[in-house]
Amino acid sequence: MSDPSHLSERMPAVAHGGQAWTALDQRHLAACADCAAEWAIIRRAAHLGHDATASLDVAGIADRVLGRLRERPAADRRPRPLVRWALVGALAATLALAFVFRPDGPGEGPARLHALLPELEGLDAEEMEAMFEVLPAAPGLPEIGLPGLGELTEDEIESVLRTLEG
Amino acid sequence: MTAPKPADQPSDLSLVAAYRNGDERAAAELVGRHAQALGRFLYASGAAPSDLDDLVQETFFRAFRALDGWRGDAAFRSWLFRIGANLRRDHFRRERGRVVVSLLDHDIPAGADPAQEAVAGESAERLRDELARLPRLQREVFLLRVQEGLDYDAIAVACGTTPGAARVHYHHAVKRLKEFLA
Repeated sequence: MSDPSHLSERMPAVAHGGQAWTALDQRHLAACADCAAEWAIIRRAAHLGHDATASLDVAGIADRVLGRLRERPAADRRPRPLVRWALVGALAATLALAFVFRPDGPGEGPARLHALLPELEGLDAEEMEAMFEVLPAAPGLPEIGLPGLGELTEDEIESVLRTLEG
Repeated sequence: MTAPKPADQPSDLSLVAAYRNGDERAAAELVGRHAQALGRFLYASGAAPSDLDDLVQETFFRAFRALDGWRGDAAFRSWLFRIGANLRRDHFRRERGRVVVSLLDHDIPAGADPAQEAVAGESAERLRDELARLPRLQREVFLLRVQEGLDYDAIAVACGTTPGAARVHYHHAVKRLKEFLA
């Protein structure tokens, strides 16, 4: 009998034609509803969008991209000075407010701080990183070394996902 | 992730270098090499067919203007997909609330039985809907693996995570899709 986890790992390669099912695999797929359902999803997802993109005008896209690049050839990756100083000012004001209204009791801190930073809720990780990149290090503030998902172990990721997905 | 290309074709890295030295044909070659795959990725991520041309164009425009940000550790196509995914997300936020009903189902195979066409079109739309509901990282890992055939090491580089975490994200995506689509 085929090992279902091994079968599952090979599904993308088989869907792409890089590998093929053995007779044993095929018998398993015919008998196992769970693996058959997964194979149907992988096969469909692998080819999703082929027809939708068949009509893309690739040469036209290249022409338009090049035309725009001739007008605006290079990105200045640094934030404009006005934007940079606005961000610095906003964060400084927020930190000052957080300091003035800091909670006295234990356990209130995160909720209070959260309420003071509603505009940060809309930012994703990349936008937050970009914002912090342009901010000078504030004297006296400790370095915060928050791990990214990529630094977590498989067990830790599993645990985070279980928490998020319920 | 590597685009299929004959052995005598220049690599993405050399095309990028050529474009940076002023060779516009190299940029056009990169567009030709990756536009379809980028379009499929965007479509599977939930982009409307009518938006694909603009999204693909904008992705390449931003990528070429930000080539300093591509250090060559991830494949050029993976890097493009990340830019495209960000654009699609921003586009989706702007368009939220607008209901767009597609009259043409582009995933229906031509010449098939009408009843089968309807079923195939419906299941493709359901798959797209469920993909759009996945957490972003799960969706991207799933599509990179299933549509591009990447291994977990390459996905990890593309998504800024570890191979083990990419594997977990992939299997969570599969599990959720099975729950919703079975």
